[in-house]
Amino acid sequence: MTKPTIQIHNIETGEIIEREMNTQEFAEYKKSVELADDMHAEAAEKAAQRQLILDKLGLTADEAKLLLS
Amino acid sequence: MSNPTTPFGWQMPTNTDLVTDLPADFEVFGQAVATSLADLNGGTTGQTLTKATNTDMDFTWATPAAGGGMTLLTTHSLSGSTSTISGISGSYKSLFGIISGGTTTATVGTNWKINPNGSTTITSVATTEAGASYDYTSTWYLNISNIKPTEGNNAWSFTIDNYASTTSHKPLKMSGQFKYYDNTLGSTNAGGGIRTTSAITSLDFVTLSGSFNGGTVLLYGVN
Repeated sequence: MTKPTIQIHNIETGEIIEREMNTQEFAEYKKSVELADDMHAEAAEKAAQRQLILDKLGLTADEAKLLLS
Repeated sequence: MSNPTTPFGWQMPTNTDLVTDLPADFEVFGQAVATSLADLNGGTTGQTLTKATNTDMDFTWATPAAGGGMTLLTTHSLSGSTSTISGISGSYKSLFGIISGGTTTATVGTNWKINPNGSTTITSVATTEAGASYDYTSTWYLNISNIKPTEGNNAWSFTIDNYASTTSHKPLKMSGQFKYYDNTLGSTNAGGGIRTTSAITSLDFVTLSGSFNGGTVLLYGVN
């Protein structure tokens, strides 16, 4: 599998390098992607819980916002 | 008018002085005036007159201290999945950045983030985005919900204060607007800090899907 690329722009020297990520950089990158996936899953879970509460209360999201504003 | 004058005490000719004494009287008067105003002489272009001591008429010419201002450090074109600005000078009080026009090759919505000094663990940012609140203790996300990869009208600005400090953590703030993958509009307002006593010398701009194929970061040093 081709690894994503990394561009490094050293503004002190003006040098710009663009290359494939090394193993360590790619591992970090994959971890970041996984963390973002977890973040989305958590947000989706929270949204579902929020909707469940709204349904119990018989309120729309806009009505709840109005109530809390 | 009183004689000698008020407030400077310059002696003028009196009513009883002989006319023949007037040249000498005016010499006395003129010299007193010249002595009083002596400090106004000198100076160079751009200098300002400041008080040397609390004594009346004790002035000196001084060059004004350099004022605050912004220096453009780089116009960085985003490229790759991680696009790094390194070699950031530590000569300023704050860093100010503007990210605009960023697009990626991603085929799905994606998150972008910034890693100061290449670290994925040292940033705490509390974000309000599209009315919801988030608090992440390790990651500085530019957006929480997935943004549209081909939308070129997104824009963020951020400030990192005290970024060159080698003894203190660095406060940061950010705001921005963008379009989500479903074409709805999003906006963000975030604040937090970078938990390191090392100076910030590089910033990684990361897209978590695809590669940047457009966009610019203007990075300024601020004094």
